[in-house]
Amino acid sequence: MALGLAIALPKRKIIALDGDGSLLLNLGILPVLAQQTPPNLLVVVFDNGLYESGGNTATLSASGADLAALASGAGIENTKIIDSLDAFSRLLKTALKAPAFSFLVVRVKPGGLPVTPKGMSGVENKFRFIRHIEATEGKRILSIPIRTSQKLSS
Amino acid sequence: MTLEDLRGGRVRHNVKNAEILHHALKDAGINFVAMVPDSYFREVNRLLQEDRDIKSVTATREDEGMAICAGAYMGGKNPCMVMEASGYGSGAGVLARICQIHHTPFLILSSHVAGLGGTQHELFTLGDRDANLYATGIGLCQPSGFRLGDRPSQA
Repeated sequence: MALGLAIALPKRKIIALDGDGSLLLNLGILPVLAQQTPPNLLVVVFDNGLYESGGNTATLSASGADLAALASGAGIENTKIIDSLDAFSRLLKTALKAPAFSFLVVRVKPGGLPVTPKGMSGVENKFRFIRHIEATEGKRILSIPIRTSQKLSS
Repeated sequence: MTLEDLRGGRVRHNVKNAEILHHALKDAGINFVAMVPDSYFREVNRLLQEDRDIKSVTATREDEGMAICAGAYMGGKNPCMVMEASGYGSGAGVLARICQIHHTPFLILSSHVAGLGGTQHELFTLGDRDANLYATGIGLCQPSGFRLGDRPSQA
């Protein structure tokens, strides 16, 4: 979704926050990102070696799958591995300022805060997000007429 | 009969039909497509990729392409996922979550072939069953089938 957003909103910096388990579910996105390389997209993958929200089952990155190497092998040139907080702070600032696609793999220790419900439905969340895009970009998204429906009803 | 015939080679390489679909998508305001290679839509995909008014992204899987379309929609694009019918199977999770639960709209254009008992290769009849199961079974969208030349404007 972040790739689609980045292409649609080329003047904005789009940041995708992902996890090792999530990325391993669909490694096919890596060559797609390598091909598109949207200069306004930053991907940050937090790699803790666990499906932490899924019962602490180990991901395959815990047994040697190198996510950064996979990204590089797929053709993503600007790939960085981050092992410290200082490096994270420095490289994140650089990536945010750089007009180039960046792919950061941040190796972190397990142990996150419990995930609490957001207090809103996914539909409401989506509408709030799009309304924010509409307000800040000055474009109408939700009100785009659906020509197909018009033709089918005529 | 060759495998090429079984795959409906005459339709696959019909540039006129591809142009009908390409023009229909443009007429519908589509300005962003994600696609997974499909033999039937080879010429359609080529025309879309060569169209400077339409941004095209080649995805590795249909669910990935659908997610990219959803992101493009939220950024203001009018997207379309172009794929073969078997993509309904690999894209079922995204279809259910992004489209059915979150109500994120985008057009899907999928090739469609004969069902079980026909002369098609088993791969294609599987795609036909996927399309029917997912497009109608979980009621996620408005499936509409047509033959080229009948009602292409519906695209």
